[in-house]
Amino acid sequence: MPPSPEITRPPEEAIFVNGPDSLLLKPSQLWGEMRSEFATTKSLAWRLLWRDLQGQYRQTLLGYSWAILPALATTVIWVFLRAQNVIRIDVPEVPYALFVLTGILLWHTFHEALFRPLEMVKNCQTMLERVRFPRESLMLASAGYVLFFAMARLIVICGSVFLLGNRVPATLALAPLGLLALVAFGTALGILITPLALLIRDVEHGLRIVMQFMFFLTPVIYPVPDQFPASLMIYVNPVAPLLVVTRDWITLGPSMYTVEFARLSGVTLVGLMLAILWYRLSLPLVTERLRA
Amino acid sequence: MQVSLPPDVCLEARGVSKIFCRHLKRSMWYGVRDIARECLGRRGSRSELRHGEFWSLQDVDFQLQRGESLALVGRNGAGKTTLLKLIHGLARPDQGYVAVRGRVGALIALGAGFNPILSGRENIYIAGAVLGMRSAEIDARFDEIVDFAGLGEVIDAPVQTYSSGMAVRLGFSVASTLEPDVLLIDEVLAVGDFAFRNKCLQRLNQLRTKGVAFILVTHAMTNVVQFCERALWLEKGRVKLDATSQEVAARYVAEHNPGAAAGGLFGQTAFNHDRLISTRVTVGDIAGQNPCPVRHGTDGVIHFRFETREALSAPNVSFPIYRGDGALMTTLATIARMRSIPSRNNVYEGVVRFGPVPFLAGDYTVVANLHDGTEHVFRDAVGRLRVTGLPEIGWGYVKLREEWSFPQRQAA
Repeated sequence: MPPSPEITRPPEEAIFVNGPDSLLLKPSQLWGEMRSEFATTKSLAWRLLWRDLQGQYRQTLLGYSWAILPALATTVIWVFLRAQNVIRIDVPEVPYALFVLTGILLWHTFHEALFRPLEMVKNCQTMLERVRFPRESLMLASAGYVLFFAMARLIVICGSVFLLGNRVPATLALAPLGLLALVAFGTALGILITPLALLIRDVEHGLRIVMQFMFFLTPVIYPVPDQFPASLMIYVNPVAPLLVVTRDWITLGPSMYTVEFARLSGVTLVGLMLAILWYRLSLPLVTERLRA
Repeated sequence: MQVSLPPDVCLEARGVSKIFCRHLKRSMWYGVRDIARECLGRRGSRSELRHGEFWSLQDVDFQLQRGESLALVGRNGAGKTTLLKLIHGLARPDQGYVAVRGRVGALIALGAGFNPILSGRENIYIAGAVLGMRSAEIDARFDEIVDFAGLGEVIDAPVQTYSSGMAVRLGFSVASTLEPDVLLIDEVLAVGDFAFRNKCLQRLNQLRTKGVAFILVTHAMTNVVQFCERALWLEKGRVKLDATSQEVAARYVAEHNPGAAAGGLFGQTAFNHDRLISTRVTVGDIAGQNPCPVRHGTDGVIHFRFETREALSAPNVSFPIYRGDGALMTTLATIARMRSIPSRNNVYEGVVRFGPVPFLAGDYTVVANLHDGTEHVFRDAVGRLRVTGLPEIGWGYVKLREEWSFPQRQAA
């Protein structure tokens, strides 16, 4: 074997202590560990993201178009049902095909953001049980994965606006911000449920059923209802303002629900930080129970 | 918790205990409660077991010096892997603490992070990143990793086209490139073919000479003696013996002797074969004292008599001899010398003298096989070959006569 090239390593004389006390009792140590792991977290997340994007569609003929095809198929069905008067949905000012395609692509982005953290952790379960690495890198890679496909969908949406839309609103430039908020909200919720869903499998099964109902209780294929109590949907369902405002920016212009959007985005930002803290504290206690 | 370690100590475990629960559903609920206590800042040391829980580890104390190699031995479920997980930071102790100075590496999950659809080249970077290597480190060592794994031109093929041995070699190659301060090794020395195992052992020796401290989990006492200065024997989660590897290995082998192993390894099914009426096999030395010890370097004898209900068309006998840990030492077989053995009235009787016995001292299990062509008419552990006259633990399984000469000395 040829002699190994000498690698310069920083002196790592820090003492790592693994004890039973809650990490919350040592906030400075917790923060210090998170800060010192940040560079590793970032580079590992980048590698994992690259791995997943490279591997996702390599063994397919249609490749990345699979990220769009389900939404296109669903759109065709809803447009057909409406054209046949099976359903009656009035959407003023925007062609229904553009309205429903945008809504479904945004919904798919939120859905992916919600479940991707759990899928990521499940895919990496063996790694989690046997290798010590910054666990946050899985969440960062997960968010990166969702954002990548969100941006790919945005390109399709922009193309649809030019092809199908009556006009191209200036607020289309805000669409990435709307998508970012939607991804952040979905990811925060996804990170919150991941440790529990990993421990108790009912959580995932239940959530998948709930999300099927939520699709119909969110203004995805129809506009925000005017009549009470359905009109409360925009205030009660947290996905609604994020999705509606982003779609308004893409297809119409300024939205009347921007305040709700801003308020929810702020909550999301705080929620995301708390979710990461919760994930860091709880995941080791879950993984040690997966295969004792 | 502030812990200070003496400068020459790289790992310290003090009063380490770990609780697990065997009931799946209870474990789920305990998990939820533990998470709640952790997030409320109320989790801490505990000594009370909840319903269904047990101590997987209890009061484990030890220190590891820089460059020292320690073997963890014990039966399955003794707590060896749990202790490795606590050292690696993959699980949290319920009492006590583990303090580690410097970087911990692990040869445990070979190929962690591999995506089988990607090429070996791509997976080297992924697995390296998972193990904490920087891109520059992987770049600098890339050729060495590929060369060590012996993959050559297939490095750009998808890993799913590799054989399982090739994938393991690649995983080991990446993981062993790390130069941690403490290296944890869990039974990976049993993977790969002979040539690769040899390369693995050379790599571990290289790391040891660089001052890397080892913790090796193994059931092979030869590895314990060959690689480790010290050994920790765990039994039911407690330290049974912390001593030199020679002492621990000798006492471990003595306790788990072949007599005990014979039942587990080969079953207790004698005399219940339909085609067999009786079996008698005795093992001993040439004086015919049965059973009696055979001295190292002398001959042994096996007398056998099998009686069957009907004549066998191609009868043969063989006697594999096993060590206590199940390693096959040798096989005495008639098939190598004759097509079938003679018989009279369905009785197959004979004597085999073998030797000189080169084995190290200890108890070996003799299994008797009576074949009819390729069919087993009888197979069971039938006796114990006790070898005396040498230590039980050495460098390998056998001791040969050695004659050394040194031309330089004659020239001088």
